[in-house]
Amino acid sequence: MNKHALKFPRRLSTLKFIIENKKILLGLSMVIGWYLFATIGSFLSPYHPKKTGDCPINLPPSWEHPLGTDPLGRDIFTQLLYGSVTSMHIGFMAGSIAFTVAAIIGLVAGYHGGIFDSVIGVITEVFITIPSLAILLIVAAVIGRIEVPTMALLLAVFGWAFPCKVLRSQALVIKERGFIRLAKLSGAHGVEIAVKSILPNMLPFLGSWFAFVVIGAMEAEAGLELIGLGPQTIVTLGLMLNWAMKYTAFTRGLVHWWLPPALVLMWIFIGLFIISFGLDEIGNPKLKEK
Amino acid sequence: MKNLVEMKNVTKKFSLGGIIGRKYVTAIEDFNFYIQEENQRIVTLAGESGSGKTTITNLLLGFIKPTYGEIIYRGKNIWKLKGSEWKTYRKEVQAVFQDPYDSLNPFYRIDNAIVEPLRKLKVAKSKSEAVKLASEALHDVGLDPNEILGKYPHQLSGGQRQRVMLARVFALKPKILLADEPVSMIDVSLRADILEIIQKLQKNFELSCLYVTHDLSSAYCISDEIIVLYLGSIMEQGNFEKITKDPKHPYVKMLISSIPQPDPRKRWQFRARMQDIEDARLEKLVGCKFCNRCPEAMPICGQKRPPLIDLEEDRKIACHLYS
Amino acid sequence: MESPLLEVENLRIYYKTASLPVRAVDGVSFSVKKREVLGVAGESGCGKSTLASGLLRLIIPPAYVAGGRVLYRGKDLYNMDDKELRQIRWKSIAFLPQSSMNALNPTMKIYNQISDVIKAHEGKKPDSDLKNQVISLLRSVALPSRISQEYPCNLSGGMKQRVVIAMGMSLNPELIIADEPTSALDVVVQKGVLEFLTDLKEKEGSSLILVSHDIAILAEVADRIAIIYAGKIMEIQEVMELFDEPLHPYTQGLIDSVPSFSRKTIPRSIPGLPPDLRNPPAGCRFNPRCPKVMDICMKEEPKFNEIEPGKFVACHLYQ
Repeated sequence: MNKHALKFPRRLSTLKFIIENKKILLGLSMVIGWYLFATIGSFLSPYHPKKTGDCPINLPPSWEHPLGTDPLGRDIFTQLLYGSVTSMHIGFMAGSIAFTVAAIIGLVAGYHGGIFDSVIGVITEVFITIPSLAILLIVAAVIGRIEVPTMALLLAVFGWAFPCKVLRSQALVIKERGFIRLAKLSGAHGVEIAVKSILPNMLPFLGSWFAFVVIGAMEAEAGLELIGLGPQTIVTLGLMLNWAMKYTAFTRGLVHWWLPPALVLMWIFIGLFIISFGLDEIGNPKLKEK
Repeated sequence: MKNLVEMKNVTKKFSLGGIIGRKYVTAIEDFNFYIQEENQRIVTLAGESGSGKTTITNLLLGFIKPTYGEIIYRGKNIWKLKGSEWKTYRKEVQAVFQDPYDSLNPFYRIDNAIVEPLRKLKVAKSKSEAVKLASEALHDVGLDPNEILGKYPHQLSGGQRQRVMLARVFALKPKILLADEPVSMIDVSLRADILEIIQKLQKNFELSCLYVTHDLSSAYCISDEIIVLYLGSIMEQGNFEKITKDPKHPYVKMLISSIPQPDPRKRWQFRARMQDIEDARLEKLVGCKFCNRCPEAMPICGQKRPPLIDLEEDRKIACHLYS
Repeated sequence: MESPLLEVENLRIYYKTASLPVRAVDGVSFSVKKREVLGVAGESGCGKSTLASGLLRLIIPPAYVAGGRVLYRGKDLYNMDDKELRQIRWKSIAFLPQSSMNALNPTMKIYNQISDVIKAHEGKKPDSDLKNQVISLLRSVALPSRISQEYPCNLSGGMKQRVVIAMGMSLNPELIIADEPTSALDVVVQKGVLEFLTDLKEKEGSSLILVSHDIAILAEVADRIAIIYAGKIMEIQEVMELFDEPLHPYTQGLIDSVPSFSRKTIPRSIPGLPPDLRNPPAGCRFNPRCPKVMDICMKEEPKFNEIEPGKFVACHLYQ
């Protein structure tokens, strides 16, 4: 029994812990559920989301076209499916970049302190106080048509600062815990302590913030697309809304066109929020547990 | 006889406040202390909050740097140690802390706390050897390895966790143990067990223990010597028995007489005299640190700091009444 | 025989959990006389804090009252409306919870916090009267008047604790319930705080219920001591008699396990651990750890009886 004890660290039981939490389960099923549905659906759909004239134009919702077609003859439901997948990809990509940067910098700054920490502190404050959406708009407008990778990077640039600050504070808190002193007494040094002792205790916190960062990235992406400053090369939920706006779907009351993308975005955001609340729950009771 | 560890004229100041209005707090001042390699004993470092005892612990463990003075281990300044010399220092100076609920990393199993240092500090050559040593150590502190290894910290009680910390020390076999309030967060009826383990450690491995506490009753059972600190300076130090039965320094008198004893026939005699000390550390006190509260203060007490002198065999005191 | 100030009859307070309820206070009965300091001794998890807050109905879910009465001057606190209860709280009975110094509002000056308590219970008063009252309260706990203008963060632990005691005393209550009032304090400050609390007995004629895990401080200040173990009272005696001749084996074990300056050797711990209150042992709850355990102890719970005037014990050795 002792030998086994050494081979398996906490990972397995943490996973179990996570899945047992109702909120996380709900949130995950919402997000992953829709993702799977959209992915499979986009494979199965006989229509093309961008090709003009693929179908008759301006059809109202029917069995063949659950959300009807748009003025350029494309099936809106197919667009919704492809768009969901792409939007989520962009959001997760940008979110992951932003989050990884934030986590590494935040952890190191929090643990090491000193000049590095002060410098990072100033930099994050600058990024936080700058009105990111405004700058994003300006940059996007100036550069003109931007590609998807560039967009993901841009979103990441403005998404990393706040999580970085928060994660740094959390690292500072954990740094004061007694077991960190014990790690030092056991011969561990700086980076090793940060990665092996501090990081694992931040996992729920990290997960929670990751969800937020992804929401932020998807929101920003949708916003940019809506205004027409996105790549416009691939279909995303934001682009759908942009088209709806351009073709006066809002004023013409074509609810079947503009409402679904908005609802899907909300659905994903709510799912991610619930996941992050669930992770918070896991994080906190452990601190209170005595 | 050579000194194993020595604190030479150590002063530690902490700064409060930011760039504007920075103030300095002197946690300990001109502190001298040594532990010899032979002649191992348990020394109590006694003091209330603000006395500097936590600072001394952190300095000896190398967690913070002294502002002035040196911490010397086996003849070398600990901040100048490198490589294997540093590893030796790290292994030979260990600690047990106050809060059993905070000392173990909740993410890892208990094994980690004992096995990790055995490997890192090269006490064990392989994982299996480390596990064997860990099991023996757990036995030594009265725990069943089969019950303990493989569990997570939150599955053990406070008393068990504290024993695990001591097992870790048993396994590492250091030369010096710093025990920082090891029983203050344990139930009263279970403290004796922990004290016994500390005593056993000291006898079996011939190590010296610095027992840091404000609870003199528990320290009395296992210590031979006591150092009483007040606001970062030593007031009286020497044989524990002598000092508790016949304290000479006014602060130590006040301290001893305030300790509650479980005997209603010997109740407190004198009223406590309370003044609060937080401001005192910030002022540049020229004289004796206790003079503001001292019932026997003389004019000289406010002007000159009393030096630590030998009053008699086994007793040193820093008080103008005796110099 | 003067009627007691407070009478607790068979009080039961449990905590709801996902499985069985935690029986934190499981049938506790005792009384408090006027002008008396009753010490309640017990270790962590024995239910003493739950008991302390339960006396004034200050329990919050998942805790709930499963039975019993608490009579203050003959009136059942558990059977009165909120308005009447609020009148009694603070004015007649004051409660100082554990770590109460942390309960001070960090954003309010001390003066305002104390005066708020007074105003809430004594109605509006002219400012000068209020100010005098606050200053004299602070003086009675040996705090200089400048403290009233400070914020809690500038005060030490001992000072904050004294402020809280001053707040508790502000309405001259007849009974003060203090839960570990000195646990985080230095030894000299602890003595001072305990002296102030017990002074109230002489000066104001109040009674004090002092809950603590430290039987030594109870030896110093209590008139009678009640020993709690696993949610039940094991023994109540006058303090001298309790220490001279403890009746219950747990009391004896507790006294033997406390270090003191009168013996140089390490005292003896009580073997074993306190029980899980969701599933306490059958019979007497102390039986797994009792050096004098008998067969009957494992089957039948001993009754809590007054075996001689003033001596209460729940143990088969005396039945």
